[in-house]
Amino acid sequence: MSEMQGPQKATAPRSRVESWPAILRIPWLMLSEFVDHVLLEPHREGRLRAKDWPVGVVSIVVIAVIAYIVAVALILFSAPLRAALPLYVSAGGVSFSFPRALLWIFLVLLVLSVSLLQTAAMHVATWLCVLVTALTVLITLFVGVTDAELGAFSSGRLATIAASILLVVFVIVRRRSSFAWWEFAVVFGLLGLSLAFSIARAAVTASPGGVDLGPITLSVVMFTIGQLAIPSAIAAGSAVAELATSSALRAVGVVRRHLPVAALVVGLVALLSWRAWVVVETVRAGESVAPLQLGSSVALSALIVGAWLLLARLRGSRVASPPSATELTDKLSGVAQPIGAGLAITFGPFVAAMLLLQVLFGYLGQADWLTTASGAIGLLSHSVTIGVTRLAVGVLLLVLAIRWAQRQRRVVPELLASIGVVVVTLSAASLFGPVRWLWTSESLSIVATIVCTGLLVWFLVARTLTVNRMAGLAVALLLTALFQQRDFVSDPLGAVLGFTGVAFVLFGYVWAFLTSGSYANEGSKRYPKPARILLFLASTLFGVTVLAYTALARNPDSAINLGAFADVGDQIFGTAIVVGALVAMLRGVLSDREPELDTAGKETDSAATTS
Amino acid sequence: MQTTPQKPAHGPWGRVIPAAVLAVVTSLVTVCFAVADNPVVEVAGGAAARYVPAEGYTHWSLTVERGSPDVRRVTESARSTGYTEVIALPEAQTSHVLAALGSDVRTTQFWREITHVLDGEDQSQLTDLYTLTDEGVSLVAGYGGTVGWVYSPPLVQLPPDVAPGVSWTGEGDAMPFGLITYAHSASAVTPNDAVLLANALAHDVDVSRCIQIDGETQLFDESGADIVLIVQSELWCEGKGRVAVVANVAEVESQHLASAPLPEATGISTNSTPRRWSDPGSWVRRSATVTLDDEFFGANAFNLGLADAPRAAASGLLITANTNTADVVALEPLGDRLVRAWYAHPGGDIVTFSTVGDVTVVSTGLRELVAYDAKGRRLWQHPVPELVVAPPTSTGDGRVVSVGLDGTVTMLDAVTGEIVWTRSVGADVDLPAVVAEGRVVVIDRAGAVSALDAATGEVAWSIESEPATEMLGFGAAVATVGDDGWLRMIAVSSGEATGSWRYPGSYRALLAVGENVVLATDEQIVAIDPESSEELWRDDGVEAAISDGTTIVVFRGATAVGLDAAGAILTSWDVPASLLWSTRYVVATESSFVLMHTGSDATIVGAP
Repeated sequence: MSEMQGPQKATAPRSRVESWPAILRIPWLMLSEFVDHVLLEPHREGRLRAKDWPVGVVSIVVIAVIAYIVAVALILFSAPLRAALPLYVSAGGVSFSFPRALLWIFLVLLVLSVSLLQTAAMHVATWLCVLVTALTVLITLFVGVTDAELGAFSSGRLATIAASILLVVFVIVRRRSSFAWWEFAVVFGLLGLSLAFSIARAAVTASPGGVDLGPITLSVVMFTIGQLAIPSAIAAGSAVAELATSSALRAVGVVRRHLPVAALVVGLVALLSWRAWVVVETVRAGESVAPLQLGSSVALSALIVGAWLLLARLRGSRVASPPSATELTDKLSGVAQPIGAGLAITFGPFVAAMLLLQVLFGYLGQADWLTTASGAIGLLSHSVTIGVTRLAVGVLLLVLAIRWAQRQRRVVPELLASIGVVVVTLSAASLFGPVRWLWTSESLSIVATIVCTGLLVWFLVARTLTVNRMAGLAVALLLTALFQQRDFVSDPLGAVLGFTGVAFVLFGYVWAFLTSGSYANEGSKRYPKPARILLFLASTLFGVTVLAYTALARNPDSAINLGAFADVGDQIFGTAIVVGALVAMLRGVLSDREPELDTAGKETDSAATTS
Repeated sequence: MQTTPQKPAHGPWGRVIPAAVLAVVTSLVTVCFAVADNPVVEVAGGAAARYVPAEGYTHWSLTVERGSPDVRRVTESARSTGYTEVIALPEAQTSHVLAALGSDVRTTQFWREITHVLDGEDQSQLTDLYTLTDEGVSLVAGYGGTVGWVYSPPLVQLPPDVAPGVSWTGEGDAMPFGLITYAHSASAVTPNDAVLLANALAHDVDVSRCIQIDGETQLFDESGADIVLIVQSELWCEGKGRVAVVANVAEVESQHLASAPLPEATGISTNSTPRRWSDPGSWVRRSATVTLDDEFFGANAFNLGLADAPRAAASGLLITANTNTADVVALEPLGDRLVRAWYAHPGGDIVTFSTVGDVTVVSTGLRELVAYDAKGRRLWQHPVPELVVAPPTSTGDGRVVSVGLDGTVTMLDAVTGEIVWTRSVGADVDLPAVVAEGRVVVIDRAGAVSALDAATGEVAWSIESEPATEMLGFGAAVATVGDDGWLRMIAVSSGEATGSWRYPGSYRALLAVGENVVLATDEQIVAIDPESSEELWRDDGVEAAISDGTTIVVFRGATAVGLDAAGAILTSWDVPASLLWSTRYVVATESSFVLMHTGSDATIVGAP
């Protein structure tokens, strides 16, 4: 079935809708089909499903979802909450302000996230179990350090030490058993009660001296471990591009299905005019469209095309057609999170090392070797380290793409190759040369528009412009437009929030929560289903918690600027998916084929996103 | 590792028990954190604490004395705990106060009153420090007048069980070394003094929440001879402190009555004199000490906690925000000293501040804008819906523009605080507005630039740009230093982009030097002609840079270098390098530049 002629899906009983006058019926069907394919279908396919869950998992999920809703609500209502509640304010070069009364909520959300992660890690691969447990212990000890007492081991610190020991013992004891719901209760109770006690102790000690330790503690904790939300923020950056791509595909599709060809022609002309005007304005503005940038856009597209050709060659002729734009879009959410984790891989050790240093500082006091170590650890967050890491991840993606293509897989290798090319290009630019030559979304859009316009003119002159080609070009032009103007998704939300930088990330997080849980609907020996469910919940909850914190602090830099990393994700995944979709579209245009919806060989790729 | 999958539970209890247990655990953890984060700190002082004003409370009063003109006073209240209040006293007074307090000062709660006298010959600034302890509310120290006081033991104003019918007495030293001693007796009654009651009613004070303290204080000299007898009736009201007083001091009657705000609104200049350094090549460096000169306790070094750069007022004073006590402190450069000219407590933490001629406008953590005149006397205060983190901007015609974190742009009269107009740009803003060509230009965190008509607040234009670190006016244009490494010029009249330049490194300063734009980063400093977009000259990177519009001073390590508008070196000075533990701030004044950091020492480079 073609992309344009998807299943005729009515969202109202046939008899009722069919009885409507055409002037109402057709727009309704178009709108409902569009909404269904763009918004509802990804949710149906990607959501977490309560099927064959072990006992107690439902309750854990309910608790996590309630916490998630609370965090999102805190973001949405951050402005009125700040206006209504007294603020804790610390003045300085960078002033920090926060509604004081809400602070304890974040402590609960953080501990809940860590507990979900820890419980999940108890029954997964050993290396991951060890890493996560070590991180949990460090976080626990780190918070406990705030309860300082001269000449004595404070009871708050003792409580966190005891909790850490008990946690490790518990993990070891339960390691060989299956998941049990009460493990989460034990972990959450252990961490929660010990940390609450430690924080209470520190507060009781400090408050008679007029020191409010709570905001300081929370800000330090958020600043340190907030970086663990970077992978999810990078992945969240793909949401808008994903939505833009599917919107472009479906929009033309519903026009094709429900309206005469004349409507397609009118739409194509309108799109062409719109794009022409935008291109002219963009060129006039003169920024981000220098000749070098246009050239690198062409080069990027050529590299991606070249990579796809190579993969097709490696696959041989048995699997004929390259992936469609829809197939690429469908697979994106599955790969975004692990790739995001890879791109931010240095932040994990950095956070762990910083936690360890803080704990050692707290227990041992100032020492030269600790100062030296602190400087060394800073290298992990250095721009060169990050650049080299990302370059390596890009190369790895290309290698994986080649290997999987050799195993006759389809779609995911092309997707990884597209992403890999983008990552390698970005990393090389940041490491080796000035970024002024690097492609931009504006330059890519201009190149794509010029190519589409050129093809249209060619087909017109050669009198080979068919309906299929018109549809394909319309999708390509609309895709280009939405890619360049993809703020259309986050801007309305941003206008409501009135807070810059949150809307984009919030949209990505919520979209991921609603559509990217499918990997947790299956299990494997090394990563059983309950662990995947809890990992999914932990990741999503932690991300929105950090985001809610920055929203209520009304300062994107108060913990970690997730918006900046979402922009990175948008740049990487957005560029890859749009260029890939354009390549797929234009290939169909050249061969006068309607863009495909069917994904032959889809089953062979499903395993590629699980590991 | 996982072995066999868990068997499904049997019956509904298999679902109910996990749900119930998890709900209990979750509730327990949640409650524990809610309790842990809200330790109850009792306000000391017993029943007396109710009468102490809250942090930031302001009270206007009129001193009425027969045969003398009325004297206006404004009193600001500060509440804190611990050593900072005591350390902020004159050095010569501090040790005596610590001795008088005796107990653990770290946990002692303080109430400080700062009173500005607006009229009369003696327009001094008086400070009174009270403690809130198990003894009630007690006066422990006072300074600022011709005489300074240290009460040991502290003079009880209100006992912890204060109520009508309660009486108390006390005696001890009123000055260090027993130079003057006191004997005090007082009793609390239901308000009955006609003058006090009339004054309270005239100002809508709920007398049912007030108490009258009738007291006598006799002061004696070292030999025990009487010096003066003070008899007074004070009206204390909950949350308002001492609302009104009727006093008889050495047979002279006076009344200190609550009053509506009566700020000094005349003779206040809001003009900012353009700074033009004269012959900076002849300037020399000298060390300076921040001092507090008290008529009684003498000159004392004074520690300032700085978290923001000082500002220069048109009067020549340096305005600073002291984070130790959340006070605005004005310093007067006098030779090798920076003497505290006045100080004020706007209430809450000081978020940011700026000067509009002689007016200082402060944004506080209590979400208020507070303005002071050249002598540190409060002019007005205005609540704002959200914190104002960007320093307010002077319009040059007696008005000031403040932009809140929520994007609320407010135009106010700098002297009266009257709101001219308010407009929202709809997104968060943390950079100060630029006023040029009759427009107020604002850039939000997303990089959207909006121009509002300065007279009406109507939006003239709005464009999308890039997020910026700085925005400055250059004649008919504004320059934005983008986070993306681009310097952009935007015409104020139309919002059109008129030029852009790429810059390397991290931003340090943006200066208007003559008709040119000078952009300083840690990698280079470059001068650009905004008309022709021509690069005029370039030099090595800097840590900081300031200018008077013709001469530039750049800071590199322990050296400050003066450059002319063409980038040629005029002279250089050795200056203290940035400290690892304390940020160095530099401020340009009329005839010098001053480097300061947290502490009591500074460096002035100026005319010899």
